[in-house]
Amino acid sequence: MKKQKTTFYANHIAIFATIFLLVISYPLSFFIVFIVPKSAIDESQDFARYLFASICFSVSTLYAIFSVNLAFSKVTIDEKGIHKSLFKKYFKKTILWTEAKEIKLYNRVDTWIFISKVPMEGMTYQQLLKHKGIIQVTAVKEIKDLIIKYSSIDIEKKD
Amino acid sequence: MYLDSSGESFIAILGTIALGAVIGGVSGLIAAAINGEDLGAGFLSGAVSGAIIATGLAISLALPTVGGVIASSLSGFIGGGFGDVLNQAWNYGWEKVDWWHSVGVGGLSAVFTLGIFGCLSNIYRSTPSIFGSITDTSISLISRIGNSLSISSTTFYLGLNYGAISTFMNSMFNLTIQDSRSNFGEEIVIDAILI
Repeated sequence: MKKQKTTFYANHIAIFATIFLLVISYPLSFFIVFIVPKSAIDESQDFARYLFASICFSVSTLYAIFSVNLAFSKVTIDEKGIHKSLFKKYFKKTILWTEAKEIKLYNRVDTWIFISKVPMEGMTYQQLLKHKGIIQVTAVKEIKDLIIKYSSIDIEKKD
Repeated sequence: MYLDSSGESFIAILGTIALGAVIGGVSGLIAAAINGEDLGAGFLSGAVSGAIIATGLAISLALPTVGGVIASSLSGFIGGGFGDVLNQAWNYGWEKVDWWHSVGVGGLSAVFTLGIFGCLSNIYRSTPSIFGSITDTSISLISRIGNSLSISSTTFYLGLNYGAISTFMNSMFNLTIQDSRSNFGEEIVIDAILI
């Protein structure tokens, strides 16, 4: 019998965002620095060319570094609760099913599941993201099925 | 629970990118016609800008505030700046690209894209019902991608916001920033007065 998958990337859009920015900016920076010919207008144009490439390269690199936690954290769902961590070591967060107060679906670009230790009534999307007692995961079918399997709380749509 | 049974809400993201690219291309075409430049270059650069900016804005809205600010402004810079580079390279050749012009267009585009990100964040916060339908994730990813390419009211609304406004402004920036090439190749004569 096939073993059921219980570990998932938590934020698919963040992975897409990181890859999108890197895939566009790195080849573009390389192209501008190494392939585009020297300017025939004046020397300051080459400075501007390098400036353009370095902004693309450095800002996207900084973004990638600071979004590692956001993009590459994984959640594991088992009979005890939902556990989130980066590379199984860092930024660990757990919500046991006995602690969970609410589980809600929220639509913001993609559809998300928020599992919370506190009532989420009246909280905005950004407040939900910042709250330490809340875990956000992309609402894929396998995750929903596992939550339904292990938790007694109904998944509701957040107003 | 309210279900978006078509699965489009996954963002209609690909439909949004496609629509952003088309609207960006048409905006670039209009700007090229006004500027007396190559229409193909205008369309290509507008389409590239539209696709990059639309994607950046769409993903920015799902990220935490700081991530959203960086992603939207960076996509605005790359979309606006690189679109301008392509436009110039097509019209004048790679050696005659005015990189200061492209940095300027990219900078303005970054600021403007950031502004749109702020406005859309507020719209999302104040009227979540506009985007309230929940994706039916039991539909296969391929079907959801297929559905998202159809023009629904959500796709159209988002495409208009993500792609159209910013790429239209981007094309306008193109017309307003001073081009260094206007002096390129011209002989500058300075009269000296000897006392």
